[in-house]
Amino acid sequence: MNRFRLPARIGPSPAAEEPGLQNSAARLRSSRDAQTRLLAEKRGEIAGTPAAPATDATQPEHAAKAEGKYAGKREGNGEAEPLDPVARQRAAVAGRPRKEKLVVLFRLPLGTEALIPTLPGASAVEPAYVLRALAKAGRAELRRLAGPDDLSALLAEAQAILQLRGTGMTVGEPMTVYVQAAVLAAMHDGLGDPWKVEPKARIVGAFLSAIVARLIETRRAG
Amino acid sequence: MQVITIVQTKGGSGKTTTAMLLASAALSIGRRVTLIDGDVNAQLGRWRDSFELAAWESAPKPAWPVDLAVLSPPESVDGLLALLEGEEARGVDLVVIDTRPGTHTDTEDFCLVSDLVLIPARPVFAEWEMTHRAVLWMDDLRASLAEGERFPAVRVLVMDAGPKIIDAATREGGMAQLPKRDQDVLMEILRLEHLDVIVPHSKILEQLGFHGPLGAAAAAHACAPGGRLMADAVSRQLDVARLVLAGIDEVLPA
Repeated sequence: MNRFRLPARIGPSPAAEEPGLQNSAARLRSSRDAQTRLLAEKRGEIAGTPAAPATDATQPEHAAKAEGKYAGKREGNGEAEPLDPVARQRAAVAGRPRKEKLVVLFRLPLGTEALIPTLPGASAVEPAYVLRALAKAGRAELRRLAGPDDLSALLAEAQAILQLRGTGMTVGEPMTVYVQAAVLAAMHDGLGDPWKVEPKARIVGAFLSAIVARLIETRRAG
Repeated sequence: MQVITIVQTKGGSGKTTTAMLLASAALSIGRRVTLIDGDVNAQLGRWRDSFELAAWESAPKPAWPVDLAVLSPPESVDGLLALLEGEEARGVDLVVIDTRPGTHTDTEDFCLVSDLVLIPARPVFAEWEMTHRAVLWMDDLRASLAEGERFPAVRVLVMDAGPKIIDAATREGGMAQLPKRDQDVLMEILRLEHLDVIVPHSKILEQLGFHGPLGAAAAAHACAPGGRLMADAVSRQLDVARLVLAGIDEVLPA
């Protein structure tokens, strides 16, 4: 086995879960362009000649080999080379639908919460633990929603939850979720809010609760 | 061959400076070094350019060391692995990978092929949170691996510390001289797994692009008329860099 290898993963990359990757490709491009231009201008001034790409004649021999063999690019050769990580990231982001990060209040109708102890296996663990497991599964399900078709089965339940008063719900806990932008718009439309008057977190929270309520029903049914 | 990735989610925290210090220390004791610049602003990648463009007036500028190569990362993970294999076969003793700020999947790849992840941390309140975040990120990354998979050692390096911080960390009663908030920050950082060295604040650190690798710079200044003071300052910084490398050698025998 080679000494250098990537280890096997059993979980998602923590960095892939982080927001904030959006503009790095553009930042890289502008930064590289500007630095390459400034360096070329500076060299031109020093040599008293028009700016020209510098050569790497004095670099160690191995480096030239590395460029050819491993496609690693040496700096200072006057060209704006795309860096691997950002090129990869740009390609990855381009094919992915845009998603929104929201903090929602995850809470269930009191009637639904009362069903949790009746779930298979729930007696062996704490109710709070079951709730956390359900919240995790619900969040994953929410993330998988891809369009209005996926929402149709949840609409009635979400509508009912949205109408409930605070006293009919558990206290709940704030929770970070991701939802695709197109799905978020469809959620507003589906709940009769086409002008997007209601807070996004409230709408998504209702759907999250509806998803978890369905999960509870499904698990009870076995 | 030691492979070290330098990680910090905050920009301007000393990642590139740490890479330059490590390279200087390793070169000064005869090791062959390759730097890989995974940062967006390519400061490390342009180290040689900035060194060659710098106007040295008081001393003759030394040649760029032949044992130091600065590369950009290959375009794929396979390329990176092949590059590391190639460097090891070439007899390189130390590969240091500089990364960009923020949490990125390519930085994770760099970490996963490394033997050590070094997190530079300036002991100021504004950066403490980011240091903590970087450590938590590494914990999450470790948790995402299958059981039994190798994960690099993770160490924090306290960088750019003022004299009061150094007193607080090294002298009895020094802690009392620090404001409470700075005490808390220092205690929190030192609670993490850290190298047993503190890099003091220095003008030389800010001018590494100008000086180039420190060993050659110190020798050049020492030979120049009136260059003794500068040579001493650069040598002192190089001594600190050697201590950092010695700390790394304890974690990761060369």
